[in-house]
Amino acid sequence: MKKPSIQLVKYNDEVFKAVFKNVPVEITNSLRRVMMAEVPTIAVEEVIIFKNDGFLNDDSLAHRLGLIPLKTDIGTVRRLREGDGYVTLNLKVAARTTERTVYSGDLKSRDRAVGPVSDKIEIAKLAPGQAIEAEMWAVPGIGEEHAKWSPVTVAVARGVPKIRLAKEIPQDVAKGLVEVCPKNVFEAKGGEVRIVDITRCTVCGICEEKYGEFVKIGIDEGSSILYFESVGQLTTKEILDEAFNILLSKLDEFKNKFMEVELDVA
Amino acid sequence: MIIPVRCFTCGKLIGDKWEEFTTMIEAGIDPKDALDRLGLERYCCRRMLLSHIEAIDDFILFRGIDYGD
Repeated sequence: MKKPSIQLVKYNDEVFKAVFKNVPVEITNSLRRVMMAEVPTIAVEEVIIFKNDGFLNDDSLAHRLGLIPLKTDIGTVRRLREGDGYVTLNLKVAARTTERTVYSGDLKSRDRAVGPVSDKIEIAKLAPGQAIEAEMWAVPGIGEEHAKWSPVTVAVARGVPKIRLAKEIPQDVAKGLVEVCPKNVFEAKGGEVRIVDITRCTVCGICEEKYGEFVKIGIDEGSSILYFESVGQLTTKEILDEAFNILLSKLDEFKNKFMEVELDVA
Repeated sequence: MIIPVRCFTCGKLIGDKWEEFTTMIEAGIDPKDALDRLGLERYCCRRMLLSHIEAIDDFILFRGIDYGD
């Protein structure tokens, strides 16, 4: 196996995009699946409603509360998971003389490390005289059980597009290539065609269809592109880190189980 | 009804973007630019705001049955 390397294309707390050179798609895909289904986060699971005069029924209100992403650090999630712990949040709002929108900022968390990602998420709307009073228990969980615990929105693992350009490309073809690509992969500079960003290419094949003599495209599955976006509960770094830990512990478990089996080779 | 908390398809948070979106639309900004400014790239998230009808404003005035506690 060739030496793997990672080239970061885009990286911040919300978005991660990187080219994993010489890392097969199968490996990045297992990482992606662990991120989606098995990296734990915290979400509201139990809602005790003391009072709900609003138009939204108790069940739809509880559903909306559950979907609110709660910002945490992975340490808090691990701590809660080990001890079967939960974080209590309170909601107590009343509309007195005017209509009032209930925002996620109205939620009061008992734990400082846990709170809604944004303070402006609309939970409900109340007419004058209506009130909502509820207590919520936010528990750690994984995306396999319910999507509200999944820390990523989109997560994509795919092969790296392979674009082979002819050595000499006429001026008009170069111009046509830049124009025809819907994802702006190419750039013409001084009569030469350059690939700006290979990760933009979706292998749609429009360029090959039109200028088949000059461009050949394909997919290299020996290298991969990993792209994912965080919902906001955890940072991309924490998600990736935890996904690696979980994947490695699963492999360890598999190895141990495998070693226990007495192989009977005929 | 009220704006969903998350995008149905990808799960991105959109519940906090509706008010900003409507103020932008009322100010005469093109919906395309408004959605771009809100950072909604995918069409799944864009249709959530674009096709939403905030019907709850008409309903909340009608209270439910008062059981008199």
